[in-house]
Amino acid sequence: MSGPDTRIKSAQEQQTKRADKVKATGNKMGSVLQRGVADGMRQKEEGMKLHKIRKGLGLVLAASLTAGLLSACGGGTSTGTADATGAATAETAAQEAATQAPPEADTSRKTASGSGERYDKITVALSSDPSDLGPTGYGDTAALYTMHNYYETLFDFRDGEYVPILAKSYTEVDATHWEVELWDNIKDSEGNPITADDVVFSYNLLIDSGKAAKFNSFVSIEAKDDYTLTFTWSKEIDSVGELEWPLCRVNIVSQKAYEDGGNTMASQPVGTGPYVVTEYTPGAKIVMEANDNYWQSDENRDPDHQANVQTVEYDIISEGSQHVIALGTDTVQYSEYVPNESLADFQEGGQYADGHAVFSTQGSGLQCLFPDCSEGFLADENFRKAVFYALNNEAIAQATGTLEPAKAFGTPFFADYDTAWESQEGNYMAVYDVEKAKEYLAQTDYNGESLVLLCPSSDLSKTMAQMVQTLLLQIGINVEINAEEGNLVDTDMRDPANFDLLIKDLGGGSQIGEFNRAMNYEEFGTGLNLAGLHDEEFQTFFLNCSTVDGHTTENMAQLHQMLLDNGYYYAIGSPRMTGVYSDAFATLVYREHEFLRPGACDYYLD
Amino acid sequence: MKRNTITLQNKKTSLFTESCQRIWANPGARVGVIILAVIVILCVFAPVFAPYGVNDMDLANMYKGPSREHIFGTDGMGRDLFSRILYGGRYSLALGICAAFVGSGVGAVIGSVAGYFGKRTETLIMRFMDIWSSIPGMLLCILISATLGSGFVNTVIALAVGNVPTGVRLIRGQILSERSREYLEAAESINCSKLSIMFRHLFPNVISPVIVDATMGIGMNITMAASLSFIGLGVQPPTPEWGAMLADARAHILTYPYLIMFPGIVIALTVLAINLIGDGLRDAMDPKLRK
Amino acid sequence: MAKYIINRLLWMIVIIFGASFIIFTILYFTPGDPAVILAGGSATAEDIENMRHILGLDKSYLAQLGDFLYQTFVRFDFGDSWVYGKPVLDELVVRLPRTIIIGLAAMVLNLTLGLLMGIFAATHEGKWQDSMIMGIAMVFISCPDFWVALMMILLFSAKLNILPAYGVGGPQYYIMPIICAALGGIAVNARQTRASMLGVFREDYITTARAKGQAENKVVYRHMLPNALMPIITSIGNGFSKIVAGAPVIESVFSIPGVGLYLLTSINMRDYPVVRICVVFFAFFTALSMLLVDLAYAFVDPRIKAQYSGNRRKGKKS
Repeated sequence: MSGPDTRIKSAQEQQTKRADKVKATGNKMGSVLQRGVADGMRQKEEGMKLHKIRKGLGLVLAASLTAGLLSACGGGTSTGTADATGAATAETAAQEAATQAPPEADTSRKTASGSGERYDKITVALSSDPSDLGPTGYGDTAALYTMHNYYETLFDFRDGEYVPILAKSYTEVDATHWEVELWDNIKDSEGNPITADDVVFSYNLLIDSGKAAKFNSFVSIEAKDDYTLTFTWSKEIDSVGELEWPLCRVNIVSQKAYEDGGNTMASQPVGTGPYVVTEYTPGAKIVMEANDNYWQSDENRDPDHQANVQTVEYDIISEGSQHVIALGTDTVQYSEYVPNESLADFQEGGQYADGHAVFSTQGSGLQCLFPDCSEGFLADENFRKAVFYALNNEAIAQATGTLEPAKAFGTPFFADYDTAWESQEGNYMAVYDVEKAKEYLAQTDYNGESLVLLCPSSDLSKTMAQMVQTLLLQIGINVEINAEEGNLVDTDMRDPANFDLLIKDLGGGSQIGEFNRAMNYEEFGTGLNLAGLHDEEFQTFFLNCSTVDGHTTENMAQLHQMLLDNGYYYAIGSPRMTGVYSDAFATLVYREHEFLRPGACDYYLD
Repeated sequence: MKRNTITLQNKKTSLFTESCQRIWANPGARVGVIILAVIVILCVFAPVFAPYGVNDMDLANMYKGPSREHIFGTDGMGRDLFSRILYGGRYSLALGICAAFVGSGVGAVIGSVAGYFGKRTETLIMRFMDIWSSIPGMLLCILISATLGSGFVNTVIALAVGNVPTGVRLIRGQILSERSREYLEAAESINCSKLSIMFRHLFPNVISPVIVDATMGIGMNITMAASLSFIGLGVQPPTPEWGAMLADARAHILTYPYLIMFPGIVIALTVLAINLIGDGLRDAMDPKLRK
Repeated sequence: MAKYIINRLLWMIVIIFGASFIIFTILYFTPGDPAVILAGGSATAEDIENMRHILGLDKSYLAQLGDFLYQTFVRFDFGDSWVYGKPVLDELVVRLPRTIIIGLAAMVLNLTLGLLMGIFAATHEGKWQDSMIMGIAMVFISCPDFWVALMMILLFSAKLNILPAYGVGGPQYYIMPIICAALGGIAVNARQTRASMLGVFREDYITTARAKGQAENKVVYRHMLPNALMPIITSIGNGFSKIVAGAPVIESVFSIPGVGLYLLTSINMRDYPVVRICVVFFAFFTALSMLLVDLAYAFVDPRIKAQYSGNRRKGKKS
């Protein structure tokens, strides 16, 4: 599959067009925003479902994902990096090593978008059930994969920008008041018109449901007239991700449809999206058909909101091995949940290689080992360094099979990651030095007592934990693993008394955003950060790096050096995201780099 | 079955040897004893028989199929599967035995209290057992395991809890049929205390079905423990529990089926052996089948 | 007899009530604060407190228990899932049939195959047929069901590709789960049937019947089976509750969205309203099967009825 790709061009044009229309991000964000081109999508890993919900809730400063979507969609790295903002490419070794090229459409073949015809049917595998298809159904991560098919929001959050969908335009009245104009022709799949009142209704619906996360900046929404809305913010908006939820995560439904339907939206959603749910078997599958009465005119229709395939089915399959069988028997055409070692089956020479391809990319997530610096042996800097020097990221990554070993505390995925960190002085993540570890250990009063290593009970985490255990045993440190259900870990990690070492993944929209969760001691309301630290100097420095002006290469490098000097943090590696797709796909299009949009993907019709 | 307390001790010894002979005479049970003996010896002396350490990783040899170096192959961290199965056997067997005997033991005590005291106590206990057993054993096990967390003792408790009502019913039924026997009246007539009668006289006479039940229970508990680890409860890595090994290998069923086959076969063999012995034991202890 | 049935029915209510109490208490002491989990990773202490209030977790144990029992048993309001905000009942209505289909079909298999195998073995006692059947039964009992399930998937789905490996749809989706759920029960019933049959084998009336020159078939089905039925009924009753309890494991292997899988995911998510109601439902089915067993006893064997009243008198006397 090679050759120029039509999909990318149209998308680029679209984005340029959009860029004039909306600059919701403001110039202030430019510095952060434009620096980055990070190719690829965010990682996904089974057992990290909750993490993803949270990440969805918590995209702070999600600034640097500029043209990644476009290149991921089908442009390939070469064309994709020439993005609209003209930013430099973040070239990283890991990226090259980890990625497996996304499909590029073969222009000599007939495709759905090229011919204007629709592909017949595509089945996508999910690992869990969205369960609630209602507009406020943010209960399970799987909902994020499906809801964009049948609901739309005022804006889409795409590459750090707010792309208007139901909104037509927007103006900043003053720092805390924004006006959003709606298209006046919006209708849901049952023909109910959507006006400003319906939008207000939908906002209240989400807020009342208690699922409106990250609404900190949001004060109110009012309907000024039928097609104009006034947003009031609590403060000046100075970070781009801040409005992701208030603008891009509120599914808009018609009040009439919602109230007429009683409580049926949870299983029979009525929205404005490009697809209409025709059948939902809880726990088994969701079937949707293209919305033939889509409200937007063809020329104004957003490319991501196309319906290039007539029927989309989501199959819910909880077993990894069954994803392989489903793909192998062509029951499903796309899955991100194929166990790593089965990927070979779908590649050159594998038993299912015929008709399948694998798309793999460096993800944004970071698997970390956090020491509890507040008490116990790990409070001793020498002990921490002994532990860190004894770990071998290459070996751990090899055992997991899905990780790219970390060489610094960060993810090469992000533009504000700097490869220079890898060669900083005393970087215990880049080397594996048992002698040094023993030297540091000799300076401590460690008495052989067992340390508690807390980790989620996903296969990946357990493998990492066992590797850490084995590696530490080599220098005489005993570790006892306590693997818990992922959500239990989220509770227990708030109290450093529950662990000496913690394996936990980080996520975010940018490197500094990812750091926030690990470093900011305000994050959990406990006064301690994930490493059990309450270090004013470090906090001040970190906060400075988080501001738009302080977010410089020098400051970030200094922050990284600081954490190395103190032995505060340890990164193990970042997972790859891997999708297996059938050869019916000409291109793959993702929403927010993460959730496949079957309708926007292109398909071969011949 | 009528016997007085003075000769009980002697009778019991001969009963034991007699039972052993009977079991050995039963071909099924004999096979069971042999299989189990082999498995137990291999597991107990795992450090002697295992070619590799239980957690010895060898990343150069990940997912190696069965070969001369690794007769059962290696897992995703290059650990020798055969060695892990041997070490894991210690854990699984200990778990099964403890859970079965704790469960049946507690059940037997409660059951004797119910059966011997009768009246209100009995009604109360039996009603409570009805409620207890209305939550199916496996569910209760899952819930309690989730509540207590992982670890050997916690898992034993979680497994044992489900066994209690069966034990209670069994022993109570036995006692009901024993209650009116002469030797109890005799004991009562010489003013033995109720507790002493219950545990010194009654208990030994009704315990054999409980022993059979507990023996069969070992197999069931090993399976249940494996199911529990299989759905992610019970043990912590890197404990080589058989069910946990299956759970780890579950995602690799298509690519490395031997990772699923060997632990499964070993579980099945062990449980089979225990059940065969249990059957033999039941036949051996069944008074109806005695001449 | 009517009094007996009413008595049993009332007792069943008490059992379910008691089971609800037990499950509530277990969950109350389960570690992992649902409010923290639901509030999400970036929640502040205030958010969590707020969430606790919404969920009613800030109330005392007794108040929460009272609320739960009142809502469930007086108002028949099964509550909403904390995680999904959806009524638990809605979900159960969809999921319950799948679990029940598997349970009942497995039951039918248990019964028919178990009885037939048991009778066959008993009538061929000591011959190779007997050893073979009992050998098979022994293997069935000894293999963990989830392992058999994995092996079946490997064979029938991955290698032969004749049965779907996961999910629900047409009848073919249920074949493997039903077989896996039934295997253990078939074996238990076969063994029980054989043992009971052999138990009555040497009874005088059988010898009489044979001596009368009754056809062997008649002897087996007219005389032996009814008399051997009692322990078999018990084993069937136990079998049903075992199948129900095994649902989480079987459903998770085959990705069947039934009540068992619902329960399992809810335990992991600490979605207590769902866990409670699911367990109450399982308890209901167990209690129901116990009731049916008891009634079947009374129906099959009038001696039980007599014993039932007789026992009472005896109890008063002593």
